[in-house]
Amino acid sequence: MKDMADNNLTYSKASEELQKILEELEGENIEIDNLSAKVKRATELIKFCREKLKNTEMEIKKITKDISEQDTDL
Amino acid sequence: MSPRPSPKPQTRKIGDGYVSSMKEDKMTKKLKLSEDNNSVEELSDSIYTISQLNERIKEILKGSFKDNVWICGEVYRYNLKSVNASGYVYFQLIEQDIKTKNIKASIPVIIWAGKRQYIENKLIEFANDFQLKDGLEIKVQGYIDFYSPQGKVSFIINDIDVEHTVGKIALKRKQLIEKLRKSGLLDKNKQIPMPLVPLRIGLITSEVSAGYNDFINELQGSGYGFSVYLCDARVQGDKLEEDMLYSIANLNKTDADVIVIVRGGGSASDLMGFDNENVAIAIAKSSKPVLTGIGHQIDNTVADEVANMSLKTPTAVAKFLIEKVQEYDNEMENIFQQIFNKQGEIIEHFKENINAIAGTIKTNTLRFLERNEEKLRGFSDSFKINSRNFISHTKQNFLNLTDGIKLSVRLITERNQQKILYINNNLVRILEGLFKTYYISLNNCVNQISLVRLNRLLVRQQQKISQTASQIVKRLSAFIIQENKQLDNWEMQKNLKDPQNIIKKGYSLIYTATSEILKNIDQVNAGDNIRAILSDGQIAGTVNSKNRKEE
Repeated sequence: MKDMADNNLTYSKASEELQKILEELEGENIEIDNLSAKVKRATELIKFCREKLKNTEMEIKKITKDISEQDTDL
Repeated sequence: MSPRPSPKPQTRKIGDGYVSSMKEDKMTKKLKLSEDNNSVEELSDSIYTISQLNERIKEILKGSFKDNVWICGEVYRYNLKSVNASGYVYFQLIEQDIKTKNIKASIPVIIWAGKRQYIENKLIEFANDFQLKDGLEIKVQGYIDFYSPQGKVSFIINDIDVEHTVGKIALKRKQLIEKLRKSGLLDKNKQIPMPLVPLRIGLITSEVSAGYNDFINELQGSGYGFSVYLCDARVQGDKLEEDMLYSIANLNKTDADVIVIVRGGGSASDLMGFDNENVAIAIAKSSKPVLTGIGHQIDNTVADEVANMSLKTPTAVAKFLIEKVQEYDNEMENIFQQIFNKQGEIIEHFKENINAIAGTIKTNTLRFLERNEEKLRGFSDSFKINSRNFISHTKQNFLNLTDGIKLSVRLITERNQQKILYINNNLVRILEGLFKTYYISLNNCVNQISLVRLNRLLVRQQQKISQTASQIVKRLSAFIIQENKQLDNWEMQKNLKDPQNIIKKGYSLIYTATSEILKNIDQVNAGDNIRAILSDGQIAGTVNSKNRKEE
């Protein structure tokens, strides 16, 4: 239940990392030896996104009232 | 006015001031009573039937109010189910205590069928979907009626001031919004950033509503892997508040990214619950961003105002969420594509670089070689000259040497001349071959090795050559000395064996007439001429006799 923040962090991290890789590639200092490692990482990131976003069936869970009426913190 | 549902007293036009079918005397009495309010004693004198009493109450009521009265109140227990078959509707108008919210006063109201249509039309004309409902504060015109069979006072509504009603709703909202603003709640939920990828959705709606289906269908059609936590809640009526509060609370305990409140699809819209203060506070205080798609035409509800984001319909909310995910998805794909393209570019660029470097190396090498070639050639030329000088110098030395040898050899007798010449020629050939080899290897060196090495080699070769030459000279001298000794020896032996020297000692050579050396007596007979050779001349004679030596 708590991994929401982590997961969102992963989305934004993935995005940041991908952006960073692009910037590194656009910079002049990329070494040809590092290139394939970077591209491999980018592929992993895009795979992560595709799996998370698309490769799952939509699911509907019903939340019943009785779960917890006692500790309403609102 | 339909006569059927109306109780008997109402068959008469109450408001018109007609007098009932009561007896004249009683009527008069009552009228008298009404004129004198202090005549309690008088009342106690006569005994009323209930109908007489009610009639009297009715008269008093009628006389105390104008025919058309405007009243203000909040609609309470309005229920379309209570609409009678003939089409009239009854509910209550109430007044709440501002502080306690308790009902301070209430009165039953009736809208007769004919007026009901008129009033509903008036509402709809003002705003589509706008109708009477609980909680609505209305300003209506009508008259007070007393229904005798039930002893019940009612207010009969003839007309409605729509502007007032709408204004009241707006005012109430405005006041609540202001209150929320002051307590910092109005923008509280808006300050929560919308998640980058809102894939987990806490949904509050009625599961059987069209709004639910619209929302879910839209999400399903997107192709993204949404997951929905559904809280089935009543989205109208007086249970709305309760359902909203627990749903919001429950969803805040899940890992949902956002909370979505939707309703709509139906024509009836009872949005009063979404102007509820507690619902508004719950939305404001939600730790997850709340999105509303409540569907309304008049104005935003307080729930909409306080939500993180308010959209018109459930479909619009679903579209927004999908777009948000899509935006992320597209961005990621886009960056990835750029990375992919960039990779290609880099590799291409790298290849070009390599080619350029290779080209430069080639050019530089060629240029270097050209430069060095000149130097090498220059060096080679000077080396050749030097070598030639050295070699010719050495050759000269050698020639001098051989001349010397020749000179000394010339001293030697004819018998040994050939041998000496042979040795001499051999020596010359060997030396020349030696020099030729050095010359060739030196030339090779010039063409093959670096200047420094070449220099070093040259020095070394020169040393070798001079060493070899001096060795040759040494050996040659040794040889010549030895040869000279030999020659001296030969000279001595020759002198010893020379016949001249023997003859000088008294020996003589005798030749026959045919100039053969006479070695035995059989070569001549007596009478043959012979000559004898002496050291200083010869003599001639004839053989007189010959006597063989006794053995």
